[in-house]
Amino acid sequence: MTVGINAFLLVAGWLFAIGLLGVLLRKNTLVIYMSLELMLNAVNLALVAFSRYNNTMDGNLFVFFIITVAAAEVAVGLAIIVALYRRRQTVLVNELNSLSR
Amino acid sequence: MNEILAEFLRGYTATNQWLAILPEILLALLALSLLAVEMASPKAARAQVGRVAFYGQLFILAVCLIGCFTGPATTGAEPLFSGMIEQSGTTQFMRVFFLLCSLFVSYLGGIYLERQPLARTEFHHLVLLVAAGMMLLVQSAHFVMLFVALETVTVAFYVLVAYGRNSVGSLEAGLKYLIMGALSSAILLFGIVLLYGVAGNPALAASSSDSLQYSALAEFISLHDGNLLVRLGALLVVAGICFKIGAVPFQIWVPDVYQGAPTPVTSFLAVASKAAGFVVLLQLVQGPFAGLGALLVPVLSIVAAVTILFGNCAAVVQGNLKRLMGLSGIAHAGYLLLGVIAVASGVAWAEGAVLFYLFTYLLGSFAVFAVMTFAAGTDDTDQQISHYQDFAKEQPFLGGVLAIGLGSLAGIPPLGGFIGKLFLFIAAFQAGLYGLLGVAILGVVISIYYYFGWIREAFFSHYNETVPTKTAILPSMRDRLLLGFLAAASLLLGLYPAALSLLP
Amino acid sequence: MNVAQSLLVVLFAPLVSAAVIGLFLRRQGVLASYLSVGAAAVIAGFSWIAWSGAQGETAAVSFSWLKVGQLQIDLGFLFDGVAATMLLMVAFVGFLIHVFSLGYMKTDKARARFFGGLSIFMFSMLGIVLADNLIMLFIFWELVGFSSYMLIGHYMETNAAKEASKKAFIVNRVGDVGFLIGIVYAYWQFGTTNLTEMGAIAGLHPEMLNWFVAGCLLCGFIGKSAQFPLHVWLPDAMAGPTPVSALIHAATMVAAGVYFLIRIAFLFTPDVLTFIAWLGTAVAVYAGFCAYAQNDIKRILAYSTLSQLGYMAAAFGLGYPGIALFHLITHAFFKALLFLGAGSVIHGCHHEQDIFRMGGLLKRMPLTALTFLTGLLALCGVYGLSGFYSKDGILIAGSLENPAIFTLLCGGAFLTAGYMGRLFWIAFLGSPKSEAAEHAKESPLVMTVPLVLLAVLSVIGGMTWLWPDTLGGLILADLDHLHHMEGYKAAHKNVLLFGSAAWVVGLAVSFFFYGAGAREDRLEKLAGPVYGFLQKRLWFDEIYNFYVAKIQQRLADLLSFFDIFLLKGVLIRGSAGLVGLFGLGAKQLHVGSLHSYVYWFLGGLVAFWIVATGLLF
Repeated sequence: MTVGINAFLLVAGWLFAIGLLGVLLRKNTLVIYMSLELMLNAVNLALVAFSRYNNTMDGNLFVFFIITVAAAEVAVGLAIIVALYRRRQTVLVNELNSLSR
Repeated sequence: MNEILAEFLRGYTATNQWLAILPEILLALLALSLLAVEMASPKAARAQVGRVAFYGQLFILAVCLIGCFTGPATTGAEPLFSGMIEQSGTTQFMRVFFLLCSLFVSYLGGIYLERQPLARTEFHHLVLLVAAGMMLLVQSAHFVMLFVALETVTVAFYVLVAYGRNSVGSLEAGLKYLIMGALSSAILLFGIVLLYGVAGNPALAASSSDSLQYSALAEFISLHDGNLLVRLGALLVVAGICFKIGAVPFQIWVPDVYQGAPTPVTSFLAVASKAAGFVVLLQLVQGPFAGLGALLVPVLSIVAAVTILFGNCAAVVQGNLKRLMGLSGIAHAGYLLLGVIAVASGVAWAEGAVLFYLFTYLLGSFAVFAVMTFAAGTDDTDQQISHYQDFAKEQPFLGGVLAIGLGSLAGIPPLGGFIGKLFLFIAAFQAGLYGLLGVAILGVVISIYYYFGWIREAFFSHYNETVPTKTAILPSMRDRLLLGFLAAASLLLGLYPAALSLLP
Repeated sequence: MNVAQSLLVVLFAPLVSAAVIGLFLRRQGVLASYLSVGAAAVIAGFSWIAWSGAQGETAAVSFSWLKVGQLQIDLGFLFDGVAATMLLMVAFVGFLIHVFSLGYMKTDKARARFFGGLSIFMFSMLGIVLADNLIMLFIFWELVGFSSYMLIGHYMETNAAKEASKKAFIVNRVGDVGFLIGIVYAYWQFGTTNLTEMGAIAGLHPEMLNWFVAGCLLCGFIGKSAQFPLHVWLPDAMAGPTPVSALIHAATMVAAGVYFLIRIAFLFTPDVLTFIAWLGTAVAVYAGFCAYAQNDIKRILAYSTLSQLGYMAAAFGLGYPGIALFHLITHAFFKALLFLGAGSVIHGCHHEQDIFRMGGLLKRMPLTALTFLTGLLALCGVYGLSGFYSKDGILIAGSLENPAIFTLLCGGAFLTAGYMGRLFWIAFLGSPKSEAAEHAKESPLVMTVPLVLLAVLSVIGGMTWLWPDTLGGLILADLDHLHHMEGYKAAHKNVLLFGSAAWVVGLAVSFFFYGAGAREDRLEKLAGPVYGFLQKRLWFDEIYNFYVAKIQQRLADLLSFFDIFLLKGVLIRGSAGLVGLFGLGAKQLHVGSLHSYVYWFLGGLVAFWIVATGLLF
């Protein structure tokens, strides 16, 4: 039995949606951040799948770039979250609204 | 062995295209050398870093300008690095544009940092890297290149926005920008992946093995403009760019982030980041998405109309100036979208109109942000209109620059902003976007309320109440020169717009 | 130096002066005033050079102003006979008024601002005179409006000045909206806004002309030249310093409206022309009546200006742009003279402007009084003075083309003589009626010399046979045309008779009715209601105020909920409320919570998804 591309895409889509919902619903900034990474990984999965089925290497290559960029983002993001926690003693988004209106 | 090496070197030099991205390389080198200067110099001499950054950028600006006038790339688009990068007159112009931005930002950053107990070197370093990233971003002709350049810019921006580490506002803005930015990057990526997948499908006509490349994609899309994945992918990519330019419904982060970020960074976001987004959008609608006009024109039209109205209406009731600049920036993005839509519907010269508008927007915005930097108190996030009482009386020079900057943003006749709007509106008229034109003109009328509300506060308010203690810095002669240049250039472009066409 | 270069010097000398004053001389009033006068002298000198260099040829210079894609707009100068005439008048009268201001503004604290403003004004006015296309004209038109606003509001500390400047600005904007629509429409129809090209196209295709474009452009004229119904700003504008009233609100800017009409004369269809003729006639008569109820010396002159602008419009409407230009020029001479004379009087009487508190000034300020009388007689059209020739031309044109207009204009001439007589008899004759008038002294030379020079011009300015051919081309052509019309001889005799009768009777009646140096207004005593009616300027301001207070204000009250916003200086309050409502709504959307912001993204994604699936488009 071979798994068709649509199955991969479906999983990628689900992962993306789960990530988006996580960003939407979770309160802890760290978890939100993990959800964002999940979305990127959904993209990675889709890329690899396309790459495999289209017989081109670009997608596989692109994945490495995305992983690298994601690592950089995480480094910066965690630094900001830590700095914020040291100022505010919280990382819950519903308490982080000193900038509004 | 030597022969093989010689062969290799010959082949290498034959395809040596590094000169083409000389300004970017120089910027990166300058950024690195700043770190080296900081390491090598004694603590007392650290203030020199800002100066090195400033003059270094002036030098690179000169290199860019020389490249503009002598380089071969001023004519048509020219693919480089096996199609990763494409240079044209527009990208050359944008190099100068971004360099001017980074020049002003690092200059204003120096003034901002004098008041804050923060590290200086890293600020200039990051600004330079962002500028280099943006230059590559507008030159990219390949989605991988686009993504990497975009992320270089965005990640550096996360740090810059959160640079005021001892201010809660700055950190919170950084976090918000981070999450929103990462989200939009994911959306953009998803769109790219869809396009990549569908355009690389060997079962479809005109499919390409290099389907992340703009020209290959353009060929594919022109044949498959009804394909769902193509439409969805293109729209997701547009959504990711809408985040950058601050267009509804992806504009919602703008006021919070603009308020929290240090004022120089706010100006950088407002001008350079937005400009980069627009140039990328222009290249997309002229390149890969050229076949999707029937889809993009109505979508972008609705986005533009809502953006103009939302930005202007929200700005009218805003008292915090950084938020106001953010919201008015949203409105400007709406006007600029007019030009993009005109391009998408076949008025080719509207690209020039967009670039002209961006340039006048640069001049006007930096004039205003520079004055704000000078006038800001110790709390950078708290800049209210009411702080500008009697401003023009106490600081007539800054008041004058402020008036010219705001007037240009509002589009008052003898200033550059007016001509910029005129171009965009003529382009929209030629493209037959009459309804949108009406909305835009309505938006301009509304914008006059808040811009002039600010001018009025600075020039004509005489309250006897105790005004909060002002810590405005008196501009030095060099500051005056720079600000005077901004004001004079706004005026010059208003009186003699053909001056800009001296640039390629 | 060729013509183009001298014209560039003419245009940019005042700009440089204004910039230097604005940037460096804000606190050095003396230096600023000399610089500004110097710039005015340069303008006068180089105007002369440009005119003599052109030798009657039309000089057209243009350069590419902006260029994007196929869109290209050129700017340039169109320096023909009409422009040369106007340029020399503006330059020379402007120079004299600058010199006069040296004396008049000597003790003013904000002298630098005043002279800087004068320079900006000269720059903008010269731009209007030289512009060769509608867009450039419009830009300078707006600049003129701005500098006028600035100068009217010179005495910022008085409420009247603030209100008047605002009123002038807003009323002018109303006219400019029409003007702007007219430009866009003209561009759309002719494909160009260049005056020469438009003229050529209009000559080839007369069917392209219609009342709409002419009517829109006419709005600009109505606003700037204070014609009905936008005339309300001009009398109030007298709150500015007197030299400003002389320069801007008598000699040059308000006349720019008429000049503009002459420049675009080829656009007008007969029905629009008839409309202009009647409009001008109505204003000429209406303003004449209003002047009787004014006690402020400058306001009387302001109404007289309104009335004379009406004459010019009437001449234009009757199909004689040259005669309109002729009257424009002579009017500039004698009205500038009258205003400067009034300025001299006000200066001498320590800023007393009420004519019933003057009196006996003939003895105390003889030179001012005599020159003022010269200007007055010229205005009334006494035989041989400049006003006679130009008014004569208008009346002849009226009697030949339209007897009804002729009759009304003759009545207007009678009214003119009446109110001017009233002014002169009361203010200059009799005995002083106030402390200030008692101690009035003749003004210094720097003020009287310009008066004398203008008086000379008011006398000889109308003698067209003294004019060089290269100046009065259009004027002479139109006069010539009149001379060769059928019935000219009879008309001329009529006009001579009626016109002379008008001023003789007018002056005499006012003398016997009011008496020399009267203490109070007899008209007010005898016929209070009539006087009140006239004083209310036929209720125009009341109608506008009623609209503002009763209709507009009610709407605003309704929306006072959005008070925060309305206080921020909103022009049109109704729409502002709507914007504020949306704005407050939009403001509430920025709740500051990340989650709610992510919902926006989700919403955007869903919307884009729906679009992509083709459900919408």
